[in-house]
Order: sequence, then C-alpha cells, then structure tokens
Amino acid sequence: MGGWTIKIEINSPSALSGVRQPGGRARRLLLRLLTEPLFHFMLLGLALFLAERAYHARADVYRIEVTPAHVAQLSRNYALQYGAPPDAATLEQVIEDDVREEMLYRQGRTLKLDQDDIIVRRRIVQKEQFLIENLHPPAEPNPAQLAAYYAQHAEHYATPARAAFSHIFFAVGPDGEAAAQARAKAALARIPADVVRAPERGDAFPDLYDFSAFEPEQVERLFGRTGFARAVFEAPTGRWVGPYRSGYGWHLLYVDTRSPPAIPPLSEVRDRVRGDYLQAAQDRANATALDQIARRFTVVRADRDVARPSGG
Amino acid sequence: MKIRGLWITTALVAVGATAAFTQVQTPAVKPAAAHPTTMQPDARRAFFGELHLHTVMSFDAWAFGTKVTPDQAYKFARGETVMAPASQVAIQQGVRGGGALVAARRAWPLDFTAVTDHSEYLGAMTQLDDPTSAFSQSAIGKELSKGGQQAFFRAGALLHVEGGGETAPEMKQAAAAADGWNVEVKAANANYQPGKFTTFVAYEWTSSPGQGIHMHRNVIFNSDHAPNPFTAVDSNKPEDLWKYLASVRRQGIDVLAIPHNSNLSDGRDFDWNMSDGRPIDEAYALTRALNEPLVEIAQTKGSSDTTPELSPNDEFANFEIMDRVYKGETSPRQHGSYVREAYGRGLVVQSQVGVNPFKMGVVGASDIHNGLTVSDEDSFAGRISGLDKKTMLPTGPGARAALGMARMVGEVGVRPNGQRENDPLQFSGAAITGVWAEENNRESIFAALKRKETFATTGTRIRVRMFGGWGFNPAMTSRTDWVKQAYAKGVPMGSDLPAAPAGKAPRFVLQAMKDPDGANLDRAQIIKVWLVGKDYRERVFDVALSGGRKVDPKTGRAAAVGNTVDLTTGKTANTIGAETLSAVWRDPTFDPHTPAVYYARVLEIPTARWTTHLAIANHLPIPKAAPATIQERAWTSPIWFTPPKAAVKG
Repeated sequence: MGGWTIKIEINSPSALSGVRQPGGRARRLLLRLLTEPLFHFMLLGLALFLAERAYHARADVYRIEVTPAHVAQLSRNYALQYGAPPDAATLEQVIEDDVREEMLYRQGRTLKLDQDDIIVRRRIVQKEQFLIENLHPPAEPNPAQLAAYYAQHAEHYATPARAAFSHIFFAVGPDGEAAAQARAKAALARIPADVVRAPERGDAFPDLYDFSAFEPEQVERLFGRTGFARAVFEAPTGRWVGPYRSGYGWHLLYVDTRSPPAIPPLSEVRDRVRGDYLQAAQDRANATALDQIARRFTVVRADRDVARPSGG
Repeated sequence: MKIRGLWITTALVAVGATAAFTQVQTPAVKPAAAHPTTMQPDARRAFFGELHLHTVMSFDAWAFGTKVTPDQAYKFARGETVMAPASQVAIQQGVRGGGALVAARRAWPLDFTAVTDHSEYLGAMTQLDDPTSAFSQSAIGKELSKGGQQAFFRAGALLHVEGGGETAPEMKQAAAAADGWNVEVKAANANYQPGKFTTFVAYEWTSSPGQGIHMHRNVIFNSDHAPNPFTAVDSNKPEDLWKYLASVRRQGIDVLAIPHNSNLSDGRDFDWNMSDGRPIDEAYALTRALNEPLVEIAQTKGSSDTTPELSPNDEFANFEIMDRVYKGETSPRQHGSYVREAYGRGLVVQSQVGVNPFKMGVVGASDIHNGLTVSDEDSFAGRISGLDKKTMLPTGPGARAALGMARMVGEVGVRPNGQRENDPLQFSGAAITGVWAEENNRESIFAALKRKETFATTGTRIRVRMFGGWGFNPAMTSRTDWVKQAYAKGVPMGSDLPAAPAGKAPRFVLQAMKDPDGANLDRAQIIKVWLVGKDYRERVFDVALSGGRKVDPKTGRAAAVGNTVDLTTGKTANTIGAETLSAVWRDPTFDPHTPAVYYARVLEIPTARWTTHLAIANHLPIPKAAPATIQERAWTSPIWFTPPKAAVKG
C-alpha cells in the first residue's frame, strides 16, 4: 500500500554538460530520452496507472465479498475435517469465522505484519520449493538412458546370497535332545533319493517347510543364529543332509539351489531403477531450477566488501 | 510486456502453488505397488513389528532431548546403522562421547514399523533448535527451550485444553513452519521396501482428558499419503476421531485406530458410557468396533491385560503393572482400564445393545520416545528410551537415574503414602506386534491387522497361532499340514466361531514356538471370559505344559517351571522349558447359550528383567523394588463365540 518513490540518481555532473567520457554512451542515450516528450507522456501514463491501482487496492482492502464458490469451499473443508457437511447454523458460524480471519489478515497486512516475519518468510520459501518440484517433472527415461543409469549404479542393486530349500523338523520332546537327533538320523536314512520334500516325515513346524529365495539374514531371523542357518548356505545341495540344530530343534535339510551375491539383470529391478532414475532426475531438475533463480540475483557481501554474481 | 509477463508468472505461481499443496503428500516417485496376494492362508508367516514410536517430531520426545528423526527411526528399525546425535545419548543414557555422533544398530531388524509421533503441534518444538526462529523468540518458546521435565509438563498442559487455540498460537505457528506431516509421510515412503520392510504412514492422537489420563490412539493409514491428522486439539473425544477416520475412508484410504495405555485411562477406555456420559448404544458400539479392531496390550508404560486385583485367580496376572505415572496422588482406576475386563464388558454391552464395542485383537509396541525402537530386555535404557547396548549403555548417573537410585533433574513426586510417582522401576521393556500375513508389504500386513490375525509379545519373537472350530481332530497337531486343516475346518484368532452344531463343544488348536535366539517356553494357556447376567467371569486353563508337568486336579494349577537365571551374569540356562508347545483343547465348561471370548497366553521360562541387566552391567545392586526376573509372554487375539440371539440365556 506504500507510496511509490522513483529515484533517479545522476551521479556524474559532467554527463549533463555533454562532456565526452569513456563509457558515456549509455548516459547520452538516457539524456536524450529524458528530453523526449513521448517519454514524458509515458511517465504520466504510468503514474496514472499506478495511482489508479493504488486507489483500488486501498478500497478493496476493506471490502470482503463472500462468494457462493467460497462458501462451497468452506463447506467442503468442514466436511473433510469432520466427516459430514455443516448444518445451516454451523455453516454460518464457519463463514463468520472465516470472514473475521480475513479481516484480521488484511488489517495485519496493512500494518505490514507479514514483513520481516520469519514464519511468513519460511512458508513462502517452502511454497517456492514445492513449486519448483512440481514445475519440472522429469521425463521418462528411454531404454538406453535406463540401461546407462543402471550400469553406473549397478552395485546399489546387488542382491545377497539366496537359497531355495526344504526342511523336516524334529522337535525335542520329553524324551530329550539325543532322542530327537536320533529320530532325525533315522529319517535321513529312510528318505528315497528322489524325494525333495517330505515334511510329513517329521513334526509340525509352525512356520513354512519350503523357502524359495531366503537370504542369510532372513534364515537367521527365523531359525536363530545357529548351525542350521549356516548349513543352509554351506551344506551340499541336491540331497538330504543333517541333522542340524536350529533355535527350535533338529532339522534335515534339502537345499535345492543356491545363488551367490549377484547383480541382477536390469529386467528384474526395472521398477526400482526407474524410480531411482526419476528421483535423481528430479533432484537434478530442482538443483537446476534453484541455480536459475540464483543467477537472477547479485549478492553483495558487504561484510567482505566484494561484489560478485551468485551461483558463479 | 514486462507487466504481462509478470501477470503470467503470478498466475502460474498461483496455479502451481495450489497444485503443489494438493499433491504435496504424494511422493514424487511412488513405491512399486504390491499386488493383492493369491497365496493360500496356510502360507501366512509371522512378521514382527513396531506400531508405536516417537521421534524428535513429538513435543515430549523433543523435551526429553531426542534428536533422532522419523527417517532415522525407520532406518534403525530395519536394521541399518544410524548415527544418533551424542547430545541425545548424553541426556538419555548418561554416556559421555567424544564425537558428535554415536553409531546405533538394532540387535535384529523388524519386519514392519509405524512411526507415530504426537500429532498435536507436530514438529513445533524442532523450531526451537533454530535460535532465530519466531518460536525461539517467543516467551513460551524461551520457557520450553530449557527442555526437560518442566518443558514436558508445560507443553503437555497445552495439549490438555480442547480447542487449544488461544493458549498456544505460537505452538501452532511453529508446527506450521515445521511442516511435520510431510516429514512423516516422506520418511514412511522413503523407507518402505515391499517384501523386506514395511512402513506405515501413522500418527498418535493424544487425547488426555486430565493430568496423566491416557485416552490415546495410534492412527495407522494403509496408504502412501493421508490427509492432515485430526488432533486432540481438534477434539479429545474418540467419537470425533472416528468421524475423521470415516472421512478418510471416503477418500479411498483405509485406516484404523489403536487405543493404548488403557491401563492409564483411569477407567475411561473401556467405560460403560460414551464421552457424553450416556450408556453405550448400538451406533457407538458399531462405530467403535469398525474403527478400533485392535488394542495395545503391552508397552514400556506397562501391560494392560489385567491386574492381580481384577484377576485374583490368575497366578501370572502380576506382570509389569504400571500404576503410578503422572497421575498425582492416586493410582488410575483399574476397572474400565484393562483388556481382559473389556472383553467381559463387551459381552455385557452386546447382550444389551446387540453389538460388542470391545471386539479387539491385540498388538504390542514400545512407545519409545527416543526414536530407537528396541525390544530386548538388555537394550532398554529405562523410562521410554531404547538403545544399542553395544554403544549406548547407560552408565554412571544415567544408569542410577534409570534404576531409580538417583533423581532426574526436575523430577518430582513422592505421594503421602511414600509411593514414588512416575517410578522409573515401573517402566517395562518394550513389546512388539506379531501378524500372520502372506507377504511383508502394506496391503498384506494391514489386512492382517484388520482381521485381527495378530499377537503381542513382550519383546521376544515367540510365534503363536490359535484356531477355533467344531470339527478339529484331537491329534491334528501331529500332522505337519495341520495349519491347512485348521484354516479349512475352523477360524484363526481374531475371528468369530461359526454357529455351534448341536451337542458339540468347540476345540481350540494352538501352537507356540520360542524365540529362535531366546528362552524356552514354560506353558501355553487359554483364557476364557464369559457372560454371567450383567457381569462376566474369567478362567485360565493350562493347555500345554513343558517338562511333562500336569495340572493338579485339586488346585487347578501346575507346578512352577523353575528359574535358571544367573543373577551375576543375567544369563538364562535354557535347561528347562520347551522349544515348541502345541495343544488341541476342548472347552470342558462350554455352554451353547453363553457368549464367550477365548484368547491364548504363552509364557517363557524366567529371564532377567531390564533392571537386572542394567544393574549387572554397571556393577550396581539389583533393585529390590522390582522383580529380578520376569516371564516374558505372548498374547493372541481372541476368538469369540456368540450364540444365536434366541439361544442366549436371560
């Protein structure tokens, strides 16, 4: 709402006297402009335009118009928060509260309470950051870009060792540890060579009998940090072995396949890679947008008495 | 040109800002969507997780000196090494570290976690970490900046005022500046690894209708985005929270609320009456049952199953009872505060209005306030702090304060009867939630929570499942595919028994497995609660006993399992107990005309309590005012039996 001050400083008296100086070309141009009637006319026009706007702005501050659209918005907000639209009396109250808030807001702005306020400043900065993120959505990568990105970050997608295995469980009962181990050994001796799954030859186990791609850490979490957990990644594959002790009892083990830690083909992790690619592209776009904004500014480090363009 | 350009820019900014604010809670890159499972129910596995955890974003956690962020909290929960600020560790554990950061790593990774910061003034206090912020400059900000107990009570007092409003405009502004909800949503999404580690967008609604009285609920969303939280400042009535939950569901986001610390609700959580004082009616019962399918039965501020006073015939009822927290000179009322009684009251209300409002499955959690969720007894730092025992063990004054041997600065409260208020020794090691779910992802775990196929443990990885049915074979657990049979012929925990065939009593099949790295099991029990007129009765049955023990028909009890804890080392010799327990149990007292609730409890053999571990590590005497050893345990969600209406006895 403040008045407009147009300050023209002419810092060299010799410019007016028309004395030729190095770098005086711009100044001469300015001087000619200042004497140009058309320019005066434009200045007058600008002054009128600004005065008219200032007048209207001042008048508008003290006029609050409640539009049907705004009331509908208030009603929707209320319903979102409380689960049902407001009744007529509540809606009136909501409108009145909103109008009062608007009054305080406008009065506060008239008093310039929004200036030099750290919260307002942060909120605006935050909005600007959101804006930057949403104005520059990254483009979908083409297959070549995705492959190149994956090649660069392959180690990030490395998978731990995995095992596919089946087991037979022998609980330690009232007859003790040795008896359970003996039952397991006896069962091992009787399993035909072509059988790869036989939980029914042992006791009920409260988790699964077959695991298709378990990692060492997952095996330890389920079976404990035990001999059985180690055997899953060390025992010979393709036949029944054991018994091994877990945190619950004795097990016979059939490891079907095992894969060492590996970098999977792109096709297996495409979604993740795509997500990471887009995130990285978004980060770059955000940084670029910030740089572009920074380039418009000149930062004067009065504390160091050196002027330089920012971001340079 | 210039002016027009400016207008276009302005218009763009306006449009862009609107778009930005409606989309801001959606991450730029969505995690890969999980597909609905096609797996059979017998392929369900037990996953363990945390559903109640606070970070620097919670006003009280900040006041306690917490610096760990939601993002760090998730990383710690899933087993990554997290660098925790030494200042936090120094305050909470009394450790003097050289560096600015202390490495912390959980002893074993969790499968899922929800960070549930207090939604009231979410993140506001973090504004005080910036001395130039408006909040830091304000009078209340200067007062709160001092931190500690006084700041906790001052900030807490602001929350107790419904409509909060004029008491704390600065807090509101600071919360807006902190943009806390976005921080929470982003952290949950950034740490979600479907198949390996599941996170939930979540928060705590902190209703406290009086000093120290907890009516708190955790709100868990099944989504990668959610509207702004409905807080206790908006309303401290659960009925209003449920309206908000209904509005969230209308936006296509499923959501549930979990009451916790009912033990500190002073009789309100399971009151006979609604918030307006009228008796519970059908609409309330329906709405409550829909919105609150679960209840937290154990956490660091005590267990909420039952008490020796409420369950005088339950020899294991005296377990981690906390009755002296922030409540002034009296303990909170027990009636209306404990889950077992709520199961009984639910049957009574059901007989009167037709619907059971307290049809809750169980979960366990930590409610830890320093962002580091732990559940082993030797990883608990006292009060509501978790730690990495390798790097953060409380020492010196920190250990003495945790064990109640020294006062914390600003701590107050000895009651006229000599009881210490907010007694550090009454705090309990953290609990966790187990769910039986097909896969480790949001959809699968949330579905398990909703159908109550859950159990709670006091922090160890006991795996337990129970089914009820009419056609179970008494020898079924000797079959290795019994789980498949149980799903086919019965219902899992969290469900209702189907109608009773004439002349039959239900059978319950149960199997429990010890923590693979922990202590053996003592016994498995089924607790039955049933309706008697306008009251209820309860009875505990030992259904599986380790070591060949039998129930004495005269006393109805079995001999104690024994105790192998070495009090000089804190270690348990696993020479007693069993690694797995199973039972098929037929209810000998079944009456087809009487509504009843059945849930299981599994006890471990005795192990050292956190206080014992901490005292031994610091060469301090083991506190006499707390038990040196405890029997850690698991509780399953119940199975309900409701006779057809016509058959209910009057």
